[in-house]
Amino acid sequence: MTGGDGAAFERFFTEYAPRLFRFVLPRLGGSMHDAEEICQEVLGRAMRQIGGWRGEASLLTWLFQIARNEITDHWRRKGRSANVELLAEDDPAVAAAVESIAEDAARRPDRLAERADQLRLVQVAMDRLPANYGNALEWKYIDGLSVVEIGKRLAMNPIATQSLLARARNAFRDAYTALSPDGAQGIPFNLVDPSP
Amino acid sequence: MNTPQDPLAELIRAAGHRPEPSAEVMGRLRAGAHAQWQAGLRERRRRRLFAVAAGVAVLGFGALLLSVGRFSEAPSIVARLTQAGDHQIVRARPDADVLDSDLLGVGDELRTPASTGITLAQLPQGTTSLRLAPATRLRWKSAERVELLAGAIYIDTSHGAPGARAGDATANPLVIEIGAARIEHIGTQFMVTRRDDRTEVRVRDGMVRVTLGDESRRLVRGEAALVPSSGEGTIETERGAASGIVWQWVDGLAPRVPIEGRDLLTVLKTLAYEAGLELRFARPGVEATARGTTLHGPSLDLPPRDAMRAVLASSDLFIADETRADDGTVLIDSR
Repeated sequence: MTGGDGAAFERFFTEYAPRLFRFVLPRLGGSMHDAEEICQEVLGRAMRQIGGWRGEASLLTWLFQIARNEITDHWRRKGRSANVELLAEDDPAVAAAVESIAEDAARRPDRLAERADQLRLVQVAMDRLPANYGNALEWKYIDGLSVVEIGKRLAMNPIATQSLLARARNAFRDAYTALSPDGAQGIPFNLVDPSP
Repeated sequence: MNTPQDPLAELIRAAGHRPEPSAEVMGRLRAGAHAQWQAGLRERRRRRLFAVAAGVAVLGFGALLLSVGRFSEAPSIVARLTQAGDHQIVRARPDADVLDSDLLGVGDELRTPASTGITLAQLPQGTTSLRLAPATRLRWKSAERVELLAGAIYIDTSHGAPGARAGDATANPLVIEIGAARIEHIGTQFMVTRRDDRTEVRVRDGMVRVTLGDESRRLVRGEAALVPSSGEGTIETERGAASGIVWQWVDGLAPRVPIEGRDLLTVLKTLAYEAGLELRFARPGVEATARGTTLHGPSLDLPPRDAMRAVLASSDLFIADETRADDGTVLIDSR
């Protein structure tokens, strides 16, 4: 993107903008207008500073950190303290688990959310995976698409698609377990999809 | 088919699809992010060139000040007229005749007659261009702040030589004041019109921030804002075409586009940019055909859309659907 590659910009926007929006929305009390304003600020700041991003943290982590700062400023302008609505993943321990999703799953969060929060954490976990992983899991288990149909969307052959789905399942299992060990307790996640 | 023995699948199904922002929201976010990305690219390019140009710029500016004859007393120069035409400059200082007739200083007011508009460039970089509609009065409060007293202005912060995209918003900040309202650009083409009861802001490309008191709204391409002239009330936003009849006076002051020796694709991109249209090609290969077609002839002295038809008439390409211009796009196809 720093070289002016338009296709790179489109890939960045398609992969990160929806996830950024989903990250921001619940932290702004569900206000679509405020979420759009904050996302616009975050994306603008990211575009101006992208040349300085050196990869110390993942791009998503970097965006989310900018977003946290913008949200804090937003609530401060409104005369309210930041993090008015503490989300499960904003618990420092949970946030650490989220941001090191591929690392040691022994760093467990220390609080368990309600059932609705559990299900929201499913979506949070999916958003932290590589974009194709989350999409592939939704297409297969929610939309009921076949491996061939998923492969067409990803421009991959069926064998590569099966392999990606297997990796996605493992990554999701690890991510969700790290976020919500109590929620995951007793759920015998199959490493292998019993219904390929 | 998913079997009940797959708890992972059950969990994902129970959670449901992750919510997606609407296409409208995504469109606005994309437009805003793209504008900022382009501004960032230009800023980095400008910094690389600045080290080389700095010494030359200092010498050149010094020579300009000396040429007006009164180095220590000349007012700060903020703009230069770029197109000859009827106009009146009301100088802030009666003794400011030291300035050349095509230069404006801080405090000067530029007025256009009822019949014609005029164009000028913001100095010192010269890469932000302004077009004043007929019956417009614009006063320069400082190098980066103007007050629209009457009429309408159009600002293009990306404009250098025709077809080029020199300069950037951060290096050429410009704030337009109208009563209590303030309009700031963030790398864009936009128009501001002062009417009796309201001010209209229309964005052709990029992003603009409109502020009235504590209220601030961000506009991107295809959006418009209405600001009450009284300064009381709120900013209303609405959809606004980036091309069409409301932009007619702007298009009439578009710069002449040279074509000699240039390829058709580059010329079409320039004209589409000036017309506020997105250029699309009906089929693969059409764009390549445009790139491979070399034009010859004098510069086009036509409004951008008419110029587009003129250059296409000499080729095998044509505008496939004129009505799409109402949607802000122009579709090119081959015969």
